[in-house]
Amino acid sequence: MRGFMKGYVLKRILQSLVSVFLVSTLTVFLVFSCIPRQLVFKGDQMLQKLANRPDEYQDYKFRTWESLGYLDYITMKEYAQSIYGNDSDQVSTALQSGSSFYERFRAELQAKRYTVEAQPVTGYLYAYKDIPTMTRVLRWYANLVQVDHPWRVKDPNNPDLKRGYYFTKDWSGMPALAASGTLYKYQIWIDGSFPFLHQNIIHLYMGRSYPTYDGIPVLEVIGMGQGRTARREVTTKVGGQEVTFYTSIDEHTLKYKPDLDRLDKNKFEDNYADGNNIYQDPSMLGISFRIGIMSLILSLGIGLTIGVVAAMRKDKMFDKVTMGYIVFISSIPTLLYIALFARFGMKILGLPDKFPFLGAQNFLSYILPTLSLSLGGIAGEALWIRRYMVDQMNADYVKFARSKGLTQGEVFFRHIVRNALIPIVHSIPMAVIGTLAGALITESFYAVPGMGKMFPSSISDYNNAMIIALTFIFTFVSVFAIFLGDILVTIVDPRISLAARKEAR
Amino acid sequence: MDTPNIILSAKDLVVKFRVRNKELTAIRHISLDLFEGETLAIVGESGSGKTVLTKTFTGMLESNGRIDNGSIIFEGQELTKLKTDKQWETIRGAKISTVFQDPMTSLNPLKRIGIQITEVIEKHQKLPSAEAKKIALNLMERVGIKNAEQRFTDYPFQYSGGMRQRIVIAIALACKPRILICDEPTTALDVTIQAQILDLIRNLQREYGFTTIYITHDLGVVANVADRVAVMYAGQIVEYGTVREIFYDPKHPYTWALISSLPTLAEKDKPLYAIPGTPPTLFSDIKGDAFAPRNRYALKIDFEEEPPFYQVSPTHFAKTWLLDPRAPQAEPPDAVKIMRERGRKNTKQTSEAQQ
Ligand SMILES: Nc1ncnc2c1ncn2[C@@H]1O[C@H](COP(=O)(O)OP(=O)(O)O)[C@@H](O)[C@H]1O
Ligand SMILES: [Mg+2]
Repeated sequence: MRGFMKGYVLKRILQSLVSVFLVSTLTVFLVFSCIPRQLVFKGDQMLQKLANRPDEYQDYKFRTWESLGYLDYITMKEYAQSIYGNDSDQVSTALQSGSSFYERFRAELQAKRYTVEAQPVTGYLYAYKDIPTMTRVLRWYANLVQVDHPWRVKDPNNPDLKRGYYFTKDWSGMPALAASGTLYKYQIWIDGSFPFLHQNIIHLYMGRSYPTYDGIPVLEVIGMGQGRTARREVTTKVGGQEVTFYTSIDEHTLKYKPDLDRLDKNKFEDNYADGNNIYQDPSMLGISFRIGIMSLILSLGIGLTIGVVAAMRKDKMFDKVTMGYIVFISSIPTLLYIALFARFGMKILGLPDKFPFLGAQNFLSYILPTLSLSLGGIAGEALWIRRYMVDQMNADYVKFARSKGLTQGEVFFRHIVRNALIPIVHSIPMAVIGTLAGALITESFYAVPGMGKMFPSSISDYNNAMIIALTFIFTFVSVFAIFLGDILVTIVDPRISLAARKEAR
Repeated sequence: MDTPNIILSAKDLVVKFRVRNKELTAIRHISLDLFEGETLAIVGESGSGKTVLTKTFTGMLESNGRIDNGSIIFEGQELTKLKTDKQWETIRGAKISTVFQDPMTSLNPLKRIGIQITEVIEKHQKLPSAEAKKIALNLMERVGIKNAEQRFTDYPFQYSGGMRQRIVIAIALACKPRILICDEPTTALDVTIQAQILDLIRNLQREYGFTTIYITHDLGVVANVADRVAVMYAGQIVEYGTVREIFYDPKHPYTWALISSLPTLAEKDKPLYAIPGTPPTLFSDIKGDAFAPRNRYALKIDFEEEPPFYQVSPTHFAKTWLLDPRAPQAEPPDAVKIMRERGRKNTKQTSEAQQ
């Protein structure tokens, strides 16, 4: 990178991070302050089952709210246990009706500004205190970055747990940095999937998913594979013995497990036995990125090509057809043209109009969603490049270049197209953002199991953490695209790069 | 003066444009000889067809325009027959070059200056780029760019307006053309720069020996640059002659009007003379003398029949009924009388000096 750019790039990175921070804070704040806690149970099947057990029903609700961060919740039993110890007789004495502990619980917790209520059947007391929105926002940030280290696991039943790092090989024989005492066994490893070097040291945590994918951290929901689990044969050493077994466990996700069962002991030498599965299909993130990037490439490739040709054949047949297409796409609702296109694709080309028909493994499943997603982008890019080209064609320098003796074709490709592409670079971030927005529609329409489908459904399910995480990802991608666009413009447009050079001095 | 060589000769040229299914006649039966090595100035209000006329010499008419009639002979070649870029290739930019009005926009803002010069050298002279660069650097120095080597890789926006026009001139002259058309090359520049550019063109012309057509709507500039002047009005040449003849002894009332509006001749406290009225529309046939409706010397016949060219001297012709022997004597405006007086003094001085 040229020296003068460094300052500019740094400045833009900082600006981008600030934008991401502001948008996420606003989203977290809005979600926490605007979604009443009563609504979060809308999609919860479990709660329906508890309807005729009022005490458990009540308890379940409060525990859920607590785990979602709405409030702090404590029952009389937990309070007694915290005072007398877990297995003490005094706990059951305290809970007997007429016990003076009732009064003590009420008094002490009310003093801590808790609301104290009695359960409808047993009459046991519980207390809760709403957590102010600002505190929740702060907690969200406090939990955001989770750093793994060898003193992270605290297991009273395993006082001899070794703590430290060591080099090892994973199940496929690739070198890895592993650790003990950490939450994750594998800290850094290499494999064949992008971005090839992976780590478990820093994890982002944006809360857990609820009610769908209950209890799993939302980023894992978005990032983990889908569909059927994929089993493979694994050979490893346990206690000096070579063992071979079939498993779908992804060894790189292995976490500390306090209580090992026998099956675990057959496979694992240590306490790191709790791993996620490998699935056959890509994650939501993976599917959305595949479709998104392909459609972005198509939008730019096809859109720019037909726009250039239309400008060359201005007012001829090709141009008129292109303009007709642009007008058609921009004037009718997105959903309608996607529906029409899906019918066309299904009836004429025989392609599946729902993703799950053939599934993520089949290339054909991707065709209609990808093309549908690029229809709008093609129209946009074609319109802009045609406009810029026509502008350029009427510019004085074109007249002069022609009078120098260059042919129409030479002027076209050496001067006009090149010049018209520079403002197009400005439009790339918008194309990315358009693709993100389009994905919400196309993925829902074709039932593609990606982030675009997850987003609207997480909104209707009041899956707060998911809404926040997806907003974060979409914001991040948009801001990153704008950043890249700016840098790219600085590189391709000499007028701007020189201004930047001056500014950097 | 011995009879000069004619380098380009236009005969009875008619140019028409199609505009929204209507036809506009921009050039109406122009005949013009261009002499080798001379500087011919073409003057006239804007819209009179100066640009269109010279565009026909390089086949640069827009796609809605066409040569309806006439011929243009250049070096024995009939230019009106050339159609495609390929056919024009050996002429446009190689033998006939054009410098346009606005140096700010004549260069591609996004290409380095050097490439824009070498491009045309490589194209016409089929030279390898290293040699083209050498020629380009030499040209840049010739047109007065200091640190040519360094400025070779600059972009147009790093150049001032005057510098850009120098580059445009360098590009136009890169292939040593026979004819250089300067279409209002200094209109967009401020006065001091204007003078420098005019000087530059004159010096280069001496050195390279090309023929110049100098288009301007400003008669004031003409005296400094031209050998001959052609005055255009509404798609026609109405008067042409040597600079002295046009300035000191103009015959056409339109030329009179142009001279009257020269700021240098304006009397103090009097507003600058402006020609009343507007030029005629070119969409319909023009009956009689096109200038008649704005001409206070117009005769009855001016509204009925187009005047022929009358010869005033072997080099001086004017297309006005006032020169007809039957026409009444017209009293030209004061400004013209002042010029005549100056002319007479001038001649006396030069002849005295010669003696
Ligand atoms: N491409 C075109 N289409 C239609 N009319 C044109 C075109 N080019 C020039 N004209 C018309 O021809 C006339 C002469 O124009 P021009 O030669 O540019 O005048 P000027 O003397 O100012 O250079 C004007 O009336 C102008 O409107
Ligand atoms: Mg003009």
